[in-house]
Amino acid sequence: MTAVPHASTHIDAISLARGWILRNQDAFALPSIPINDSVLVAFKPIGELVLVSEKMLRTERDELWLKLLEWAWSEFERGDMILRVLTARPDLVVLSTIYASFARSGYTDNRLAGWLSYLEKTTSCSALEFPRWRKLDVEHAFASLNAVMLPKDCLNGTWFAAMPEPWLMTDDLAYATTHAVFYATDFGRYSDALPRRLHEYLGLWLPIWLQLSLEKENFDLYAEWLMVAAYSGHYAIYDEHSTQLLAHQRGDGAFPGPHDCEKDPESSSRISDFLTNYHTTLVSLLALQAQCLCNDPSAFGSEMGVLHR
Amino acid sequence: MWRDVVDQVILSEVFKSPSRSRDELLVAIVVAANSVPASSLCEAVYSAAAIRLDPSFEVVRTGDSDQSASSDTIYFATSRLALLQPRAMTAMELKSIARDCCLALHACDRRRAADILLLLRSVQLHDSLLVRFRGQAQAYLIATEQAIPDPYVSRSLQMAGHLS
Repeated sequence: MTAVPHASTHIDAISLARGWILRNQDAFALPSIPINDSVLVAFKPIGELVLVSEKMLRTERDELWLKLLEWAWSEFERGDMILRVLTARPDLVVLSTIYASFARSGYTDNRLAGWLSYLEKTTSCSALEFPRWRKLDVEHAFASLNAVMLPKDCLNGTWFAAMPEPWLMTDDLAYATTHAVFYATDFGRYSDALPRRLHEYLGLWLPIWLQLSLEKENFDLYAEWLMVAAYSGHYAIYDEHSTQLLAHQRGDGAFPGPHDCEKDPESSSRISDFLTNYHTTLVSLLALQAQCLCNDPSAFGSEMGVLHR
Repeated sequence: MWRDVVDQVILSEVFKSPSRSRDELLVAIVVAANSVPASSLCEAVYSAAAIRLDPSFEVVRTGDSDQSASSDTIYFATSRLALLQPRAMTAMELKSIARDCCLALHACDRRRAADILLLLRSVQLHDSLLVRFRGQAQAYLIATEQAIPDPYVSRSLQMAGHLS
């Protein structure tokens, strides 16, 4: 059964979700942890917040997003923390994606930039064994830092580019696919970046994948599929399905995370609620923002320019 | 199961019997497919089958009446109709049918998927994506049929000419 939406428009829903983020800002703060494999998990919520704040600024010149970026930059000790981790653990080069979001927003650090420039050229970095979509994530970050475009064949080697049997889609493969599209289109900035055959493949199967996510009440994936629809120029599919996302927003502005989201039994109920729902709320913001593309396909197309602090 | 009976009739009429029998069945099923409501369609298919079958069919029909309005019934009937008399379908119709087949496969409903595949097999596809999908679905159903046999799926694939 579809719930009665708390927001009647995409703009209202964005406003509600922003309120939830503000009320939970402290939960995004970086914990004090040793530099080991758990760093990536610890950095994830604030890293996602940085990405979303940067992307929201493409259409919302709102103080909130600027303030959140400023706050997050100070949490990362103006780049020092990322630098410390990357000098100790160069294999965690995926952290370059967080710095790339900062840099696109005008928050830069010469020492960190220099270290990343070196890391990118190391044999180790180029030979790291990531899933292809994750490698594309890092390539996207370095392309942005170097102010170059990703190559046209950047999707080669991804699951999505092979146009597999569509009924074999799983949650993991879905995230691999949505992220491949995010990076290849630079989050909707180049909606025509996909090869024609992949554009048509999405047009045929997106409605099915949206339907399956909705049936599982996985609004995290549902929001990401909506982003894929808008970012790849399938505006009719986006329009047809985006109201379903509005209908499931909670009264407090959050969007409910997947049912099978891992919970920490030792966390308080507030932190548990945060960990369950923060990612879905963030991606839903980007999905709602993507409506701009349906009205103006070039809405993300122009350089927003470097924001000077 | 009335579907089994109808399938048997079609198999024998279409592939083995003189054309006179085939035409008889064809006329009846054409009437069936033109009846849009699922229940009417099902009734007409029952009638079509009843023409060719023994009196005990009524018993089978009564026992299976709860399925009369399901979308499965439509795919069962229209796929077999299409086998007898292919009709042109719009690009949108074909996409919709392919998506239904995809959903059936995702739900591991091989019987429904095989019915829909039979329908897709009856038309000439011009969209390379649909051709690709049909090939993938065929290969998947044949492989799963060989691994885990199901007489219903086997018969559908047999009708589509994929299994000897």
